[in-house]
Amino acid sequence: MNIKPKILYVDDEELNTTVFQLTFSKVFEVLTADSGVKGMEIFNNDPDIKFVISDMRMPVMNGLEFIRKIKNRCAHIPCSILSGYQESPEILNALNNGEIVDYLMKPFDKKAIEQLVLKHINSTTGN
Amino acid sequence: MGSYIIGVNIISALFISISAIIVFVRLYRNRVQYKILFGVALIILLSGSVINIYQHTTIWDNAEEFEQILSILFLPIIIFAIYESIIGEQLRRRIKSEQMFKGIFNQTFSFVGLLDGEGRLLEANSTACDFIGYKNDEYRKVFFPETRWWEHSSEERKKLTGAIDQARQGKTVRYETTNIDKDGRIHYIDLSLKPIFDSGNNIINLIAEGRDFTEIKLTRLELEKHKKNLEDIVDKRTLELKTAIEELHTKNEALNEKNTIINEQNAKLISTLIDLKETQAQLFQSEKMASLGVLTAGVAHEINNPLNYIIGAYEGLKQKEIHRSDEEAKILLDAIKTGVERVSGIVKSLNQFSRNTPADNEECNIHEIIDDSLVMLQSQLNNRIQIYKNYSDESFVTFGNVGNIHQVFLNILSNAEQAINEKGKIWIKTTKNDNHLIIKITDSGKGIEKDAITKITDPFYTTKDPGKGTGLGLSIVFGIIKEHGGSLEFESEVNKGTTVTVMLPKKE
Repeated sequence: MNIKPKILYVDDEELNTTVFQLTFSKVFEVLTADSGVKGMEIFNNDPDIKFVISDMRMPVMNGLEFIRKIKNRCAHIPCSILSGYQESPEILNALNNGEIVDYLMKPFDKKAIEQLVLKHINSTTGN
Repeated sequence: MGSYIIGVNIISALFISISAIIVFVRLYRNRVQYKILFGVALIILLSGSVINIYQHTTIWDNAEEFEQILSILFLPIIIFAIYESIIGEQLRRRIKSEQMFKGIFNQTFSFVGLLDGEGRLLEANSTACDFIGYKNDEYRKVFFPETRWWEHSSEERKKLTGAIDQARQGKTVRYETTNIDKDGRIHYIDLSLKPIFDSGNNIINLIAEGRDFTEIKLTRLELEKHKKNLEDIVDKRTLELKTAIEELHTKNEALNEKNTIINEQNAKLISTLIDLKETQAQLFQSEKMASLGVLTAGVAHEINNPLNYIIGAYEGLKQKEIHRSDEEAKILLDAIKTGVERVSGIVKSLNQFSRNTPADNEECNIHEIIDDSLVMLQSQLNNRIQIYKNYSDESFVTFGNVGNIHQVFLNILSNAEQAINEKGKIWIKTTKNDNHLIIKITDSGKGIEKDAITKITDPFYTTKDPGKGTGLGLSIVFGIIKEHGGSLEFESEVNKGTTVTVMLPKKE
């Protein structure tokens, strides 16, 4: 347990990524990106990333589009959306398809995120 | 000398007699001959008497001779006069009458024939003979049906034979038949056969009589044809009239039907107009909600992002060792957390308006949902408020989102609870109509002012003390009920209480 699990967080608002990184620094090693394109780059260069969290509404590529690209690359990686919007039909669809493991609302609940990420990392590494 | 004178007298008497005879003959031709003869006989008789007188008076010596001559002359004249007066006259009359009858027989327009008892033709009048061209007695003793008048038709011959048989039995027969003339033309004949009886009541002859009524018949046929034509025309016109009447009737019916349809449509139009007004009012409300929804979706996102990093920052700060022992810092950090949670709660409520979830199809058992809500409100109800439930016995289910329906009843019951200041009652009654579930929730609370009742579903409208309510509860409830195809009504009287009626579509 001395090695912190590596997770990727993508959000176009810098304050969000900064605060997120600091808040979870004790539990996770958080890599951040301010767009889907940059997120893809980081993900491609780091095979140790165990969980991906993304904002929904971002310029150029939205959260689900980004997650689908990640899934094309690596189908079994657990992903989640963290958004200020109420869930939409598109999100519900993604939940039913298993594209995302959960939908998280802003402002985030620290404990809930920790539990979710740990639960999925353990189940994937356990396999 | 004396004989000479006598001779002269005789000659003169002879001349006188001859002259008298000439005169009488002329008179005789004037038809009363036997009376003249009697006159002559009487004169002769008288002359004889005169001569006898002369003889006895010796004026005339030879008078006796004359007397003898006169008596010889008298006898044949008187015989002739008697004959003439008795037989001759009768004979002449008979001849005359026979000529007359012969004339009538021959010259009448009708065909007349005399048949013997066996039906053979004995006599035919000249009208009949001229008609067919018979000369002399060619027809004599020929069986009547085999004469030339009937040679055109075996059927008419058969009919005539039958008629003769009937006449021979003593009946008078009359019927219409046809005869052919010498030019081959057919004539219509009214034929009769009559038997003639002798004194012993035996049939000795049959009289056949035929009247040519061709013209009448043709006229009659023509007349019948015209009559038939006329009837046909009348029938045709009647039919046309009937058809026209029927058409008119049909058109009338169609018109009536159309009238009914128009009336129905009119009624529908009126009810549609009323519906339209209601829908307009609802649309107005929905539009208000929808625009608010669009607004709140954007606002929620914009607020949630800063809240996200505020809460992140709070979590980050809390972990820092330096604040662990600082009580003031702890109070300040808690204030940040409370504030974020409060704002987040409002934003979550606002988000109800921008919900865009697909149609939910969960079965919502309203009775269970109300009971759940009552359990959740248990701590507020305590022993303060009594609940009276009057539930419908039938299954009471609608389709929708179970969570949202929970929110509806929790909100309405919570409002009812908050309306009651100290002790009070809440009645819950559920019934059904054809299409809807009807839920009435009545409280004995303070009631709502009339002016306020139209505003209570408006967002942010509240009568509660600051901090106790956001004014979003009922507007969210209204939105959810609309989404489920239902309706929401309020009745209230100040200081007596409020009844909220919820109608939701029945699950079919």
